[in-house]
Amino acid sequence: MLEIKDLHAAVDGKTILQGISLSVQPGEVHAVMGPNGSGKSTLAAVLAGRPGYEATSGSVHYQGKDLLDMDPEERAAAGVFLGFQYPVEIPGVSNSYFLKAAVNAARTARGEPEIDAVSFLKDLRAALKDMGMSDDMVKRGVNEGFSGGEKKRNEILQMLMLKPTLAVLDEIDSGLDIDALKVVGAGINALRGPERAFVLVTHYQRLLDHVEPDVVHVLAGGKIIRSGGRELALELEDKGYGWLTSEAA
Amino acid sequence: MNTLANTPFTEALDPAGVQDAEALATFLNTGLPTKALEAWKQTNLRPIAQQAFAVAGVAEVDGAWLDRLDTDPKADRVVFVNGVAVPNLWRVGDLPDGVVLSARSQSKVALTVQGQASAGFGAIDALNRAYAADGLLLRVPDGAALPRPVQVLDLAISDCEQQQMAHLRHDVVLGSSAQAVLTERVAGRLGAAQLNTAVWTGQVGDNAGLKLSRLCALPDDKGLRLQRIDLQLGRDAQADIASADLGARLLRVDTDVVLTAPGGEARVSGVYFADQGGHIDNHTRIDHAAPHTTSRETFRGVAAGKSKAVFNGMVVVEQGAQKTDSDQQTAALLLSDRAEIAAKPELEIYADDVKCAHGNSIGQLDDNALFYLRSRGLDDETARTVLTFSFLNSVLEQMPDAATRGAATRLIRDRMPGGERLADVEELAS
Repeated sequence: MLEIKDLHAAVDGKTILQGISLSVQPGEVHAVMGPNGSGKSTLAAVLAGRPGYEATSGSVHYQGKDLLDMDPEERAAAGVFLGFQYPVEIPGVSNSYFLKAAVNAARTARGEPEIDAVSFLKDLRAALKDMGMSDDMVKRGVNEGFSGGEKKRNEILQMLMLKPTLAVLDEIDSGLDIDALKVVGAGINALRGPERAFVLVTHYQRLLDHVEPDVVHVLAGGKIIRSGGRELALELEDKGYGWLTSEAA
Repeated sequence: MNTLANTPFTEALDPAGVQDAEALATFLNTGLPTKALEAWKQTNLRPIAQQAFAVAGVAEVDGAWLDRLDTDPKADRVVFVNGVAVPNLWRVGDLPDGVVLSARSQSKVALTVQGQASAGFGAIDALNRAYAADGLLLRVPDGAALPRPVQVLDLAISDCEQQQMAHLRHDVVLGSSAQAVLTERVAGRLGAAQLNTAVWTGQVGDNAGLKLSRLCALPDDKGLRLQRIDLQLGRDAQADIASADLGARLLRVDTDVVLTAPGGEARVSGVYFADQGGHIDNHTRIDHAAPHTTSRETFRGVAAGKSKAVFNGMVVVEQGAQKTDSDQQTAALLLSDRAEIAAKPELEIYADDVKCAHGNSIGQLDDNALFYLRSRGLDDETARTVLTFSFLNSVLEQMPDAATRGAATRLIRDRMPGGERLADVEELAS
């Protein structure tokens, strides 16, 4: 589903990713871990098409298409979802309008008619319940005045509504208390299925107690220095990153 | 040339409609203000001075057009067309004892509020006094509250080719602990350019509260309007003035609030949307003349097409006005490279124990927010439209009158490039 080959990427002319290769199959959950400055968030940003993040060499293919050649909205239309580390506040525009616009953009891209009000409300209510969010939070401005945890829940709420084929979640677990972490984990698990894949970019092992990954990658210095199963994450939890980064150096 | 006296404008002034000959003489001394005056540096009235305007006559109001203005059916309504009250369009329900609510031209009681002098608006004030025969007179006695909002419709209507002018003077007095919610709706249906002036003079008594929500949407090619709001607040008095200036060929609004006694609090907010060849100029002046007074000011606007927008926000903290707490935030967006924005905050502080914050930005849409929307599938143009709406609506949300706010929101959507892509505003606005 996602084939990353020898990806190099730069921000402001500074090379951050130094040759990443990664293959994600449908149904898999990949965790990308690493210390601060390892290039984790850059990888997520390049996959989502954030302006200013330039892939200088290598390739990324998603369902056989050149992902790097697509605008952010084309990636969304093709079923790619980026969960933001720092979701943006858009005051004055209601969360429900934003959700509906996003859902309809995805439907239009699939050649489906726009969603009717009743179905939208039904889906929204169910997703809100799953995320432990009140109805009031969709009437407010997008992320306006939300706490850090509420913003992350709102990201997963959007993901539940959009049902992407590939979700790249950038530090979705950072700054969450244990209850919010459980809810976010449950949201991800609810969407897991043979047709979907997830790339979880995370600093902490904790999320992986709730969402069991198929593959764990450790990123350092813009390269994947180790890949393994879930036990690798546990080992990192135990020993920290030091033993791996010094081994690689 | 430092004066616009003896111009086609002054020469064409008709002695027939004059209400106050002394005021006319004052005006004729200087004529309209020139760009040599600091307060008019960014707004040039010379094109108006070069033309003749006749005193506007009575005009028929098209009922269907009036309905489309989207006014509040629950509010008490007072209607002026071309500077004259139209009583058959008024709708005023029962009012508490002692409340005076009438048209100046029909009032049995005299009600004149002494306003503050204005360096920038003086000449226009004189022109207004010279010709204004009508306007709202409102007095709310001590402790009384208006049961419903009072909506003032100020309509400019002409189907002739002749350029006309019309003037209104509104006087408002709120007694101690009185409450009033007012709205002003300005709209036009014009065959030729029309110059309207309006002066609001208000006194908000001790512990009283005034809320004024303004919405001005005149034709971008024909509507000319010069307006002042002049308020004096007593001890612990509160005023909340919110504006939406959404169209005119030329619009100048001076909002002057003086906090005369401790505990007074002024909230002044506004959004503007200049487009085509339009020019929208807001000058505000908040004068902290007593200690322990508070002001909160937020203005945001956009300029599109070949328009120009001006914002000048003066905050004065007078000597002895310790513990003043003032905050002014302004921001503007340029939607076109042919549009222009001139924004200037000004602070004059003569006390040393005060808190005065201000921020001013002119710019483009936030790239990060744009990316966020696009990553959720919204195309670039729709995302820009949504963010522009967000930019304005996050300030418009502060407008106290819900009906005026709703009408303004719809007008903003309709004015935006790509606005038709946005959903129903009730759903869009948070």
